[in-house]
Amino acid sequence: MDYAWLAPVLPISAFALNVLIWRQMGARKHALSALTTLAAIGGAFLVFLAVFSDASAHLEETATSSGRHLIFEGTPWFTVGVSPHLYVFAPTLVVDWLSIMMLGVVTFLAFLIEFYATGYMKGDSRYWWFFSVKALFTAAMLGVVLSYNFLLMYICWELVGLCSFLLIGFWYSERTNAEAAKKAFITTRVGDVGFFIGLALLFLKTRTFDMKETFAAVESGAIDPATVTIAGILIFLGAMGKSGQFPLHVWLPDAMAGPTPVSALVHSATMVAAGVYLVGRAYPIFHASSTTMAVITTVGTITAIFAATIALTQRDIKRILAYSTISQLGYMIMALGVGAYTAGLFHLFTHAFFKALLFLGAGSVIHSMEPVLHGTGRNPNDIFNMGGLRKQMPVTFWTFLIASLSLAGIAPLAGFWSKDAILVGAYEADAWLPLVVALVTAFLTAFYMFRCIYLVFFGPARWQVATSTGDHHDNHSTNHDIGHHAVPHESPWTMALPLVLICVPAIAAGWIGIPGFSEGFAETVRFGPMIEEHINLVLAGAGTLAGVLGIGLATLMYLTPVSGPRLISESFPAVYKTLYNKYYVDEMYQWIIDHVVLAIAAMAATVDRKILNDRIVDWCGPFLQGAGARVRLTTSGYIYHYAFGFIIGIMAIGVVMSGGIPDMRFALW
Amino acid sequence: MPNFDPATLDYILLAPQFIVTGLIFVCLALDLMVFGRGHRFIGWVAILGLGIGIGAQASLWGVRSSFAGVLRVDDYSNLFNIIFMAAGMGVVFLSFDYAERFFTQPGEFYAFLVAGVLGMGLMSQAQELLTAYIALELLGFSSYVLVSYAKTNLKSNEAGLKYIVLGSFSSAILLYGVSLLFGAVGSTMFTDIRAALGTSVATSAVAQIALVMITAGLAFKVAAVPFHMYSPDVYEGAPTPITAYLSVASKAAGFALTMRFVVMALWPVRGPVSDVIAFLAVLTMTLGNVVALRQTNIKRLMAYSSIAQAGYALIGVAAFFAAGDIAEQASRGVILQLIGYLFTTLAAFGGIIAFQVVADGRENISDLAGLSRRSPFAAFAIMSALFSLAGMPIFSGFMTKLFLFAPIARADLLWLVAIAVLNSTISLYYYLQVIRVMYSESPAGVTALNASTVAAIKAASIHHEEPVLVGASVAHGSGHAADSHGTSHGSHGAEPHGDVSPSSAGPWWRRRLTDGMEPELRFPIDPISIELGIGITLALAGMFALGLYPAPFVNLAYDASMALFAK
Repeated sequence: MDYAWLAPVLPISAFALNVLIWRQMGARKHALSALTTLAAIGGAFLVFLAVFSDASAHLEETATSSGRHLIFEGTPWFTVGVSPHLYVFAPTLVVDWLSIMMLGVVTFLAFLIEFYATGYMKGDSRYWWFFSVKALFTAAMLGVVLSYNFLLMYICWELVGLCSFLLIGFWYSERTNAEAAKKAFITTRVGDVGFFIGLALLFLKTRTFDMKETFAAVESGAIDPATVTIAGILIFLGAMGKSGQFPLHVWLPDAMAGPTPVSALVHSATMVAAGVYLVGRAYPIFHASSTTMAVITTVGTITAIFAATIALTQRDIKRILAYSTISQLGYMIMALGVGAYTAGLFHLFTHAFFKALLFLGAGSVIHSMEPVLHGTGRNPNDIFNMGGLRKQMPVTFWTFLIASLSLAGIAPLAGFWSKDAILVGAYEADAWLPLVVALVTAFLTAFYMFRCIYLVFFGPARWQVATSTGDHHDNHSTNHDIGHHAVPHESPWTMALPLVLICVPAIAAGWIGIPGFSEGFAETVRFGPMIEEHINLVLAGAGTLAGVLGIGLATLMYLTPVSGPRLISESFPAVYKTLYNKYYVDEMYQWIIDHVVLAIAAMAATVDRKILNDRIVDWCGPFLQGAGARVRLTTSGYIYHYAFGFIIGIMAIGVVMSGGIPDMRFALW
Repeated sequence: MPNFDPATLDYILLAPQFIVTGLIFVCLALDLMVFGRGHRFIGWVAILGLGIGIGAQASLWGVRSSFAGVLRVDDYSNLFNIIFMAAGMGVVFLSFDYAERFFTQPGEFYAFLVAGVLGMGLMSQAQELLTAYIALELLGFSSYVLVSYAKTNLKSNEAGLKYIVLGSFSSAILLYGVSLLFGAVGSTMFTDIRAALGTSVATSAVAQIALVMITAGLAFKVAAVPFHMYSPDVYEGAPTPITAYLSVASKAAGFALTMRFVVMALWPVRGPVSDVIAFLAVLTMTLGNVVALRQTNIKRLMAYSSIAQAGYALIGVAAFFAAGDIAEQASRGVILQLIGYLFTTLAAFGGIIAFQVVADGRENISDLAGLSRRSPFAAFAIMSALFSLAGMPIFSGFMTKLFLFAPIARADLLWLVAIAVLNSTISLYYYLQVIRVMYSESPAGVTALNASTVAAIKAASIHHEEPVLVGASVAHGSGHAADSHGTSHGSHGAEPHGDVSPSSAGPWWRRRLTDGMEPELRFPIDPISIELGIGITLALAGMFALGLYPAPFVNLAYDASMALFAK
């Protein structure tokens, strides 16, 4: 078990190898980087398998009342503080079922998605850089997962943010991509600042960043409850930023500007789940305060339904999935907020697989649409430019369908079990509003996913015809390219194989969480004593019904000749426009930035320019330069000048020294 | 009291010094036997010998004894001896190419270098004024020769002359001070001086004038302002490896002796001495940094930078008066600063030498333009070293300054720290200037090829010479991709795949991941010899090790400071 540190170290070594050595290898660097990264992540996956197979025995041995985990202290790195309050920072790693679960999810998905990317990114001029950053990302993500020290976690947390920035802006020559990268970085920074202040607050009280000691201090009541609440909410801000929770969700849809393998790994399965993971990892801090838990529940609930409604009207396939991700993350946060710890993390586990699969499927579709729509000026991501693809892309279609069913919560796929667990959790916590919202969200989720499926894989092949048959506002299609005869085709095997492989957990990952399954999720990943779970048939039925109703409504509206969408959107134009424009949150932020932030900035800039710059800085530089130019002349090159300086120096020493010894003044002068 | 009874002397204590002394004669003897490029062999022998010396010195770790009562062998002198031998090794690594290129008789060079190392080691061991003086002169004489070693270079000769005249001047004053102190105290032993200064002797005019003169002599050795004036001229004129040697090793030796002298001999009057040192420190760092702003010669710039860095280290000595363990911490800070400065300076000068060897000895900052493209490794070494000197994190400069300034702040000398930090800010300006020249200006005399000129070349179907378009032949090596040569692939914007269709010719196992990628631009890279490469790599490794994981170095410095302050 003490080899768990290898998991992050392997990918970061691959990163170092890529950027330090392979980079020098000319054209070969691309293949070498890809192979190195794949090998390192594969190695990390093997580490996971070894840890997993050792875990049962070892974790049972160390089982204590506070939980089952193994903690590995690293070599002390540095010491801060003065002697009564010394803090020795040592990178501490933890192996418990939560980190093992995330270790498995991250390494498994990273490996398959990297494999997929070897095909998807083919021909890119910065192929090697893509894989280098992916290696760094994997290392940092595993660092977040394994660290049992808030400072180490924060370092890795920022590193995944950096990698996210680099990957979203991977094609930075396109302005919108660069903007999206910036947006992601700055928006998550808002949350991260809160996170950091929260950590600093806890450090002030506990004088440690070590999670074990912090949790112990919180549980023993060594920190006053108000501080725990404030620090908890601040730390949760970090989770909100990373996990795209309302109102910090705005970056995630734009982040889809990155390559699709990035969206699949970073922005759906792993990095955005880090926020949920943080809530799970630092649960003792949140659990200690009912206020914090209420905040978490509220944010999660709002996000779940808010994002689901936006997803109803989006046209870009990746944006639909992005809003779906936000909504599902809200689901998990909500579950954690109402106290359904196992259910929330269980949903994190299953969601990672089917959402990654959906993104890879979307990537596969876009990949095949691009050559078809090339030169027509039509957006290859727009689902209204697709249609009928199930015949051309059978593998993509079937895997996408399975993943959608799983997301919609249809038994016995993975999503059903975790969604059911959340419903049961909300019911048992007597949280009625979250329960209702969860059911409505389940209905909406099923609806928008099948809207997407019907528009992409069924119906007429709109990519063939010049004009789009989309329902509204479709003013960007053009007529000049009727002679275009390219046909979509199934993606190469490097892309299709991961789809099929990820399909397995998308179907089966939920089975380990079936109530009553021994050694299953409920027994392993838990907070406090194990809760005996049982199937609540009414809730299971209600959840399934919501999903089926959603699918049914989508079928009615998009697969039958009834022109449902147009009817609804024209009946309620205000609602439609609000949803299509994402509740105008971006516009609101823009307004605040334009009228508040920039106004303050303009004032600060005036002070800075007129007073600090023109009066102080502009005077400093020439003054120092002038002083340098003058003093420099004393170094004339003549030896006797130098000797003279020497004698002046002796006299100066005499004067200074005589100031220090009272009697000396008389002795010398 | 000195005890030279041969029966009681423990010669093992000086084994490393005997090894180094032997090495001097081995180098001299070998010089008679080798010719031409054979001097490289002597260099390797010197490195090997110094390596053995380091090993021998390390084996004495933990010993706390003295040789005949005049040379102290403890962890303090052990550490400094190791530092000096390591510095000597580093300078030898840097010297191979330079010596071959610019010296007429490179062989003896190494012997003088090793002699200087011996002198410095003895300076750190001395606990008796005349021994210290002789050691200092041994270092001085070998330095005078080394500075003027480039016989055909007028600047080198001028520097040597200035150095010997002013060096003699300063050692005369030092010796005068020593003799006056002997007159007042009746002994040259540090412990006796300490005992006497605790009595009314401290108030006698003779003792005080002696102290002033000795302080001036030591200040000359560490090039504190206003005793620094020789150093820019000497550093500029000296052969570049010797510039590194002087700024690193010679200065560190000055500090080794100063700290030992202050702690062992001047302890009762440490208050006024600290005042003097704080005064010198402020002058030194301020003047060093301010004048460095206007330098156009890289070696002169490094000379002023070195003056400023010595100023930082001096404020550590100025904190010795403080109570408690602050003095120990401050001495630890000084030692760490010297170690960090050793690595940093060797890295910087390694880069500069790599440049000078191919650039005909040019040394203006403007000549470094585009170095990052001509010699990426050398430019990286210089850049890292300059960032380190400016005190940037992850480089050693940050850590050493942290360890140096923290105890000074605790000693209620915050104003000194504030001046030091302001000075660091000023220094960033001229360090960044050099980095800017290296990284954002184009190399002189080499046509800069950017994407547009490549496109133009391609459009005109001119096949540029291969070294410039590295990768072109590899990327388009396989037959099916040859037709794509010369066509524009365009930038990869929202479309991830450009013109490359995933189903292009051939089955998947024949396709390469790199098909259809742009070839890379490269400038011809200047050669760098293996020895110089090793030297720079070792210096960089030490620099980053100290910057990222200082614990082992702190432990060494801890042992040394405990030995320094041992009763």
